[in-house]
Amino acid sequence: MSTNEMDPQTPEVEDVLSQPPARERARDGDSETELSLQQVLEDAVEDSLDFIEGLLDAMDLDGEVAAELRDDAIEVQISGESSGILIGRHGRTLEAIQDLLRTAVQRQAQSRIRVTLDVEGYRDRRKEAVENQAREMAERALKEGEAELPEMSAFERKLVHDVVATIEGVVSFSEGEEPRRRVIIQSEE
Amino acid sequence: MSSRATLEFIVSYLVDQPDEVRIEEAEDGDTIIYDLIVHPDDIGKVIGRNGRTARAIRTVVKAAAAREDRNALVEIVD
Repeated sequence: MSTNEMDPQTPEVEDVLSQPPARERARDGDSETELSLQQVLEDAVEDSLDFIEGLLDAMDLDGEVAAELRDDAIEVQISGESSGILIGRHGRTLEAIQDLLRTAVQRQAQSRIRVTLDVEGYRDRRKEAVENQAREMAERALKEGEAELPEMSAFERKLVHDVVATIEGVVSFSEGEEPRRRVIIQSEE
Repeated sequence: MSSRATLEFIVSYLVDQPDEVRIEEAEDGDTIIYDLIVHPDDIGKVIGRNGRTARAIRTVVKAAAAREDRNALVEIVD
């Protein structure tokens, strides 16, 4: 039993793990070929746009794509009428596209740059809904001993664990195999 | 077929040897089965740690196929 959910933000591209972070690599090379971290990040923003625009094109979907740098992380936003298809059931398509985007960008940059993707503000809306649900279920667990949440993505399960961690008297853990994995909350007694 | 284009596009971004990528296609009712063949050195890249990349590829290709009222399966041939 563990309250630690795998961090969904953890990049997981083994082919870049052997590479030092961009910041260190930028210090290496000679002055002519040296790429600054800023340059690596700016290139990665362009790669992100190319990947998502190319993917939308391949999927035959319309959408506006924007990417920006914030605190050395890349945030990509898609808006438009195709949002339902791009989000998918329980946000699974969105998670999958984000995984692929991150893998592609990190491979290109040879660095574990943080990359997040959102479609029409889905993550914020969903975050609020999941956190409310987590609080309700924690209350139920306190009364009844245990409560089970519906199947969720790794990102959503992490949100639940974070909420439960702030509530005294309950613990949470995940059970089941993907894509059926879900959070169980139990009272500590 | 946008599900095939989607698979081709994604894989081209993940492998070192895009020229070695082959996709074979079979149909079973409403389901399209894609056999994905990549260079042996690239298999790990399309599978990813714990199969996570392969799972993501399947999810997105399925989403593309669903737009055409089809189901799609992706098998990675090794």
